[in-house]
Amino acid sequence: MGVTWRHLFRPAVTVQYPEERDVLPERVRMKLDVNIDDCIGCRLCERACPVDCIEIGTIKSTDDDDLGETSTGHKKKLWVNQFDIDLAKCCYCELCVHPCPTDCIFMVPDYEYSVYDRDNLLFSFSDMTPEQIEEAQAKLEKEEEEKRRKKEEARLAKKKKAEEKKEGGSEDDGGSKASAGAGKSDASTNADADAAKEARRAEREARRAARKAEREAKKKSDS
Amino acid sequence: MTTVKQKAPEVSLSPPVEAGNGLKTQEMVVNMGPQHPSTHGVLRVELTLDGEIVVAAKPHIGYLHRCFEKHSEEMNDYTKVIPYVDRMDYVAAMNNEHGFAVAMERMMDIQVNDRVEYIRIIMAELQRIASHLLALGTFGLDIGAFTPFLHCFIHREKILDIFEKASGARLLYNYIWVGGLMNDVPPDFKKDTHEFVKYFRPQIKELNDLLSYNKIFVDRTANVGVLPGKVAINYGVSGPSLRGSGVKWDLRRDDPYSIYDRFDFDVIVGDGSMGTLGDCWDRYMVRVWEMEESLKIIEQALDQMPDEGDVHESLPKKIRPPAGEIYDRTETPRGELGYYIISDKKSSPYRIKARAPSFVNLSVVPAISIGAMVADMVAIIGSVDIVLGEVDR
Amino acid sequence: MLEYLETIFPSEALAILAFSFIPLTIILIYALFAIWLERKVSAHMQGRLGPMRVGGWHGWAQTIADLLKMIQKEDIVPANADRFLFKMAPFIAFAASYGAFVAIPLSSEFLGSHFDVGIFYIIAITSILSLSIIMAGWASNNKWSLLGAMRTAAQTVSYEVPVIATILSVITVTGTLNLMEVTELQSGNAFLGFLPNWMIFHSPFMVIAFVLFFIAMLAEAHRVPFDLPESESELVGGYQTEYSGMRWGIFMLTEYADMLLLSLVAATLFFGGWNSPFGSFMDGPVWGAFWMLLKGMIFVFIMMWLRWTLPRLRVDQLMNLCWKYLIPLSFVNLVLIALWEMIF
Repeated sequence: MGVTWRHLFRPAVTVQYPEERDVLPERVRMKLDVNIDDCIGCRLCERACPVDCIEIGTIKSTDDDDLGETSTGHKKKLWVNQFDIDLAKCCYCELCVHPCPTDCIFMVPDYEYSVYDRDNLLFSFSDMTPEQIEEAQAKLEKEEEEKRRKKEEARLAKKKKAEEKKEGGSEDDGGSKASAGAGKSDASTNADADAAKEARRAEREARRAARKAEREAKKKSDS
Repeated sequence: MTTVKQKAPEVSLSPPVEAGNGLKTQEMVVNMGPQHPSTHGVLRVELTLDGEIVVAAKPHIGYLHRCFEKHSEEMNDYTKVIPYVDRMDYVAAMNNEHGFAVAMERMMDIQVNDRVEYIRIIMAELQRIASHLLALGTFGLDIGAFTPFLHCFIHREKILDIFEKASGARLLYNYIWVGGLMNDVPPDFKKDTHEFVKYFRPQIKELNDLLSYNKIFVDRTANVGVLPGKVAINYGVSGPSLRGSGVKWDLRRDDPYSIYDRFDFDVIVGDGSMGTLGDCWDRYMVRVWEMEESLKIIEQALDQMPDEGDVHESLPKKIRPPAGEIYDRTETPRGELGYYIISDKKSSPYRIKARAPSFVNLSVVPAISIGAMVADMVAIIGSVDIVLGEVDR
Repeated sequence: MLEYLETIFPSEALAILAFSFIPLTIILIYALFAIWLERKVSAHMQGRLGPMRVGGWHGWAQTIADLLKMIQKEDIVPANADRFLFKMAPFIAFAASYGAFVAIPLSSEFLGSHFDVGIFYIIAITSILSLSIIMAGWASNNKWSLLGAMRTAAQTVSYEVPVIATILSVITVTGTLNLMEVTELQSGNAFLGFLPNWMIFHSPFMVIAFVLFFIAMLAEAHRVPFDLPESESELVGGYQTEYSGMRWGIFMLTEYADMLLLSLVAATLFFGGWNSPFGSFMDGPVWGAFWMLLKGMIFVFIMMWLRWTLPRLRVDQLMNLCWKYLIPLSFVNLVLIALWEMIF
């Protein structure tokens, strides 16, 4: 009885929220925030999440685009067009914060973000507008198209030259000496390249066979 | 959509008994439903009553099953299993993580440095005190004493503040990782913990004054739910429920893991001083005295703790344990928590099974509640101290 | 008081009506205050703050807000319940409690009815409370309500015996059942020269009688540690399970009115009623009412204090306590007091 009587006169421990608020320590895990300018799109946080609440979408940047550097000195090579965190799924474990190489995802001590609809807890951090996303995608496609085209051209040119060499190499020695020579050197380099390839393949096979034999021997010796 | 009409399950009651004067009595089946005011979680106990006396009690579990073990098989990293392990026994999360880390480190042959060990022990013992405070508070609440519950929570808040400063969270920490800790403790950790130890010692005495030796409380709990030592061992009971029956078995002393062999502490057993050995009061008092012992361990650990040491030193870059299986156990506030981990060299576990102490301790409730009254059922369940998160996982 | 009212009101009947509403007003205002006080006392004993916002200063209007909320609730009567009994039970309970206030002298001028069997009448009328509890339990058509109601009735009926025995010990000294005369006998400061002439200082056995009376009173009012009827938090809610809204509100009002009633009876019988402890200082009709209510509130506060300190007794322990300890002790005490009275 005396205990409760004494407690009657002690000050209460309750904090009158919202007029008074407790001071929270600095490491407190309340809400995730992303500094999207620092994100390099490595997706380490996405992989580290145990409940899969982070969704990241990236677009490769073209060679002539300069996305700049993050504040930690990393060079950015990817456009981050989607960075969604579903805070309704998040279990506030901080496993996404640790792997980030640029410290762009972190916990902030904001706990007053209740919403009436659960879908409103899906936070999107990417700041690319749909036009920018389209632009980046279009640029990337164009570049890839270019590359493909160039590769196709080069392949066709090589083929044509090979055919030409076959036809023109037997007839005209002098006139087309330069070209033949060029063709020959082309052919020879081609033949060399082929031969080298063959040689390498043979080597690989030999190595594989040797390793297999070793494993068999080891197994035999073990058992 | 047609619904199939379910046949009511067959309930086998003993036939009505002649009670004299031409009156017949029959046993009554009653549900202590999944929601009930004694806050232990969603547990359904089907009681068969003969008037006021319990003839049979059958617990039904599974209302909180969250497939933690199956989920952990799809985690492509063992560190991602730690938040799941936390949420099993949500009242004593540090001990769960500690058990998992100890098991994994033994499997992968990782030695952590002393600073990590000492911090882990201090966290585990603080968590033990917090868990016991919750158990004692809710036990008092079930018996009808409203005030000790709130006083216990005031003390628990101080412990949770220490945890919040260290890990960032109050209940589910994700702090003890395989091979180390998530981050080092803040600079005022030692000072805070010393202050807490100094503050808490007299509070145990106050709790004893208010509740433990109160005549009404003793009347409600002594000689109720007596669990003999042999029965407890047969059922596999562990932890304070086992020690309350007089069996001196504590994994920290009898199968030491981590660095528990460096500390000097007693293993508390019940002594039946207020009733029979192994009744609810004994189990309750074992928890109270264990808090005192935990304080001793914390003090010794604080003295011996080295100030230098990198807590991230032994964190493996990629946790890929060798193929094989391991079972390792630790002493949580509820008993023996064991992890049986099977790995097949991949980065995600093949199978993790947690041997939860509350699951096994709950199985002894039907045996000890025969002959008790309905009002005693609550006392019995409260004294065995189950957490449904662990029972159902 | 009645004469004064008769001068205001045109007819005698209206004056009597107004007069009978005075205790009702007191009970209602007291209930508003006591519920708030209970929440505050319990909160501060537990390190909390209790109601703080409603109405401004420390939430004094919290009970009024709760009352308004309760009135707005849907009036549910269970389908298979006995409608008439179900609806009547709370009102009969309150009527029983309220009817007993007629015999308590709130001050030297205020007494509902000057009849000679005051205390006997109070005991009789409060037994109707157990009747209404059985009505409530039975009419709810709920196994658990019935079980709870039976237990409650058993508790109430059993604990009336120590109450009567301890009251008898006071009556043997005063020689009258009329509470006004009992209070008048306790006026003055003749005892030991400076102590007031209250019954409790009369003999050491009176102190024991008071302690026994207080314990039995706690059981009559269904307060902890005997509160199995109202907070069967172990299983279900007891006889009040099926009541919601204002009907439940009336049960709660009855409980607080009962607490006040029994506190006032304790104050009247043992602590001098409306007499001031300082003799003639601070004495008079209005001061009398003040002292009476103050003493009543002190006992109410002690009841609240006990509620938040002690755990609950189990039903069989409760009956055990009554029949094996309180009743023999109170009868032995009665005999001893009678002997003391004869000798001194």
